[in-house]
Amino acid sequence: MKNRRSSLTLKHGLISLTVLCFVLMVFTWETRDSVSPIEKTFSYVIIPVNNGVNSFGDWLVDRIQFMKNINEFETLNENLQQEVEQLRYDNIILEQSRVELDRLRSLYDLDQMYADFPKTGAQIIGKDPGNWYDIFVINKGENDGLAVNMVVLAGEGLVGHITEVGPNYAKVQSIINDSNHVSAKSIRTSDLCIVNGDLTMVVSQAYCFVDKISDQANIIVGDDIITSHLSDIYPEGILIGTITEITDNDHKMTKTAVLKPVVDFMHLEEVLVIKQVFQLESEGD
Amino acid sequence: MLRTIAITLIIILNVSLQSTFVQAISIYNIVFNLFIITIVSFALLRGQKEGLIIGFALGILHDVFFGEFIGLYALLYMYIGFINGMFSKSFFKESLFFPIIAIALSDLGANLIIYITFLFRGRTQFFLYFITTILPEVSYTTLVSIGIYRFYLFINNKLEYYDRWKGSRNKL
Repeated sequence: MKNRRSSLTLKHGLISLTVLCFVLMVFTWETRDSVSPIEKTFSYVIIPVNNGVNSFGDWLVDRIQFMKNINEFETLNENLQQEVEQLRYDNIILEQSRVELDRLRSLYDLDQMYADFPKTGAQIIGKDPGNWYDIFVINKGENDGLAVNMVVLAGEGLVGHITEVGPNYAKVQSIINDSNHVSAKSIRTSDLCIVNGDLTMVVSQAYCFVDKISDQANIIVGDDIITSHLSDIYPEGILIGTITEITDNDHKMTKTAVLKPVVDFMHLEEVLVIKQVFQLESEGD
Repeated sequence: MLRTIAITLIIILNVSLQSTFVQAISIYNIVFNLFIITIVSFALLRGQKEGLIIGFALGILHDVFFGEFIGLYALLYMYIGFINGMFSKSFFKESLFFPIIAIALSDLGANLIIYITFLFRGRTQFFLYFITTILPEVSYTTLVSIGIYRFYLFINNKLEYYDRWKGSRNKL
């Protein structure tokens, strides 16, 4: 008797939770810009644990490396001294190149691109649990002045944009995420294209798929691709990557290509967030 | 009481470890699915109710922190827990064969359903996705689950021992 009753309530529980899930799906299908109080409560439990696990992991790896390498430090030190000399010399040459680069950039009219905007560094403290999406969580949020649709960079290149902000964390959708599209153009010829994330290319090498290149476009292997002026989330002129392969599709009248991002997505640990929203007033992706 | 605390801790640790530690030991950018292992293990060891609750809790946390919208993973994991819970009385807890097969099949099923959400966006090359994502994940998960199931079995035995000890003390 008791057994029967408990199985009945279990079924009721299953049905009501199923309905709840569907309701949640319907309400969060379009946008998830605002974070509900329940999500905030979760984040206050999970994010500190994540931070702890991360710093403990870093500490552990540090210790292990230290023990492993303690004998090699002397030879390493000597080698490094030599390298420093070499690098000092290289640095002078690079400094000269940089001046030249600045000049060329201003010629390309890109100099007010993204160097001047206020940026903040953030650490990645969690990645999407599965293999299907490339979404990650960084350790700064509303409290540090971040907002939805802010642009995320790493080093020289584009990583993605913030899709959701909590009090102490923010979710970043990277450009290699399968559902992500970025309007882009070739830096050399200004031919427009769309950079898509593609899971089948991401798994082994973290490459992107470039689509909708015009048939007449003069894109060649080795061209650098930057964000275009058409994108309403990203400012113009952020470097995305380099073209490594081009295919002609005769029947579609467009070319497709494979792009190697400048950012190493496989070993991404720290990112820079531009603390300014570029999105236009009108809605639409 | 102790069981509730233990399960809550396991859920929190699962979410944290899956997004940090497990990512660090990925093979060719493929990670195994700790959530599925946890849900199926507890569903098989403890029955439908616990499977359903743990599945829903892990799913909703997955959705909150990483999902594109809320509800998909909660629904998926909840049903995985519920369905696996049906078999909790029909096998020996100490034998590894059945749990491992159940974990592999559950992971395969979950991935196939997630692939359907990809179909909505016109990603129709099923075979390619199967080779590059689904198959490696299922293999990796199955391999890892052997150790983790044993660990959960150990914890469950301790908890059951504690429950029995408490029950006998209350009777006196």
